[in-house]
Amino acid sequence: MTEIDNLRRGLGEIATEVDAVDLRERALATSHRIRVRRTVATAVAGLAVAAVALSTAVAVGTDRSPEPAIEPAPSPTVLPTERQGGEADLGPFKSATITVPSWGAAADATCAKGRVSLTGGQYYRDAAHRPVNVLSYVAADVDHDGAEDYVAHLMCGEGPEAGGRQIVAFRRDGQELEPIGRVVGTQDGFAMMDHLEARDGGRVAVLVSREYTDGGQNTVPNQWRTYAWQDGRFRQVDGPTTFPARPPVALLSVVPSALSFQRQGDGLTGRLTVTVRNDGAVDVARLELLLILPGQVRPAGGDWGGCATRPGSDQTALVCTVPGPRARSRISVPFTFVAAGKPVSIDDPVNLGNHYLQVSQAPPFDGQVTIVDPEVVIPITVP
Amino acid sequence: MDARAPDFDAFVRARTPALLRSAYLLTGDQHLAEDLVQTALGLTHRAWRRLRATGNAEAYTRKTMYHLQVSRWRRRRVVESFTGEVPDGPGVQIDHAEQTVLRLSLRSALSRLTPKQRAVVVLRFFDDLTEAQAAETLGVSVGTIKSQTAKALERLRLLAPELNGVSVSGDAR
Repeated sequence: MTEIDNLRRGLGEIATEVDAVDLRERALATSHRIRVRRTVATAVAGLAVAAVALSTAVAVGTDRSPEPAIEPAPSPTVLPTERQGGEADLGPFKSATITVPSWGAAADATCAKGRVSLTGGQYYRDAAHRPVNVLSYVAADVDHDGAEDYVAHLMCGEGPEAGGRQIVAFRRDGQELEPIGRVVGTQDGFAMMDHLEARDGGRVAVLVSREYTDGGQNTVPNQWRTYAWQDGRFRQVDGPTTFPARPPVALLSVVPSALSFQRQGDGLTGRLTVTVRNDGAVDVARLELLLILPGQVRPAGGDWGGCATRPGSDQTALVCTVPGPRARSRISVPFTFVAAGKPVSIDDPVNLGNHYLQVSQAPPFDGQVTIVDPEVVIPITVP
Repeated sequence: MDARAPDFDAFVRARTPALLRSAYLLTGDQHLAEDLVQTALGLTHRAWRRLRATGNAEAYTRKTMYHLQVSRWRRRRVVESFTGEVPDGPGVQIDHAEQTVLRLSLRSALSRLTPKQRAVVVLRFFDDLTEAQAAETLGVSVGTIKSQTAKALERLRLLAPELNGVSVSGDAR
């Protein structure tokens, strides 16, 4: 019996532990709550539209033409297709023989060290040992010998169960990569160091964190620290040397306006404004906004710089990278849409419906960023 | 009386047990599983006319359930785990000692996977979906399913090494 057979069998046995329950009444109650919530949201959005219409009428007042010209709906704006991430470029570490330094006394005993051969950036021995993974690398002449060296992020195992991580500089020695020295690692008290950059003068900057998270290193306190090869070892030469007791944090909250469609020409035109407020003390350089909207909705107008269409979705999926808000400030990003037919919004919650906004921080990272609710519904109203 | 009630009632009666089993594997808790299925069924009820017309209700409910579970975890950042006791459900044979160890170990290991990894494991190895079907359910690429499956299995091997060493009941005795 294979391990997959055992897995299937084990899952099947665990699943029998759940008690059968009649959920009909509870499901109907949930359905009712969703309907009420949606009715309220639509009413609020409708009031907002009415208020805007009223204020516009007041504002234009006497300037309004007796018979306003009907402008045709704008044409859909064609956006580029988003490039898919794919696998990281591991350069010389994709396939190579390297010597892995010690992971430190506290590391897991099954972490391989010494001379290993990498295939696809990984050394795998057997099920009893954790594999060695190369996650990323940068090139820099760290030892100033005129030849390019390679600094790699090595991890023993994967995820929260990783046995250790270390940033190690290597020099090429024939067909192999020999270690120059360890820049920094878990043995130095850091839990994460997912981002590294080559800086001038052969220096290496590493984003370090003391806390581990599956949610991305930018979501826990982090600092850039810079290291240089001096007197036979790597020493920190720039950046903070300690974490403050209460590190500063960016605190983002996201509010989309209602996407209110109005008839224009033969179609429907709608406008949406996404506001992101930063109540924290850390500037955020860039944000990624993912807009999921019904398939009938298309981008229009000229507000789409930095945006692309995400492929592989039945819905309209648009990704925009925008400048983030500085500390204690906000940004507002306007978008214009057209719809050839009446958009149909599905009564689904965040992350499942076809009308929501997802916000995340885009690199470069520098300091902890907390997003209060990264996924919010975009209310849609149609005439 | 809601015109959609009779069909929906029949759907709930027929599919709730299976949905609960998947939800239990996803959440590791009876009450969380009930909440998950209840919410997914509530959303299914809202869309019932459309779903009944397309004959796609169960796929929709399952998809809803998986998305809710992954997004709920992401929003709340809570770690949920199986309770310590292992009730013997109806129809479960008295386990061979190795099977009991496997079940305990696997329960613990599942709770330590990321929500997406756990969802992929349940979809692929309990619901028996293909990679393409699992990708469709989670709204991700087949490549993501492959990589998440590989990572999940790697972690399960570490956390539940018994997966590789259980004797087949009857064969090994």
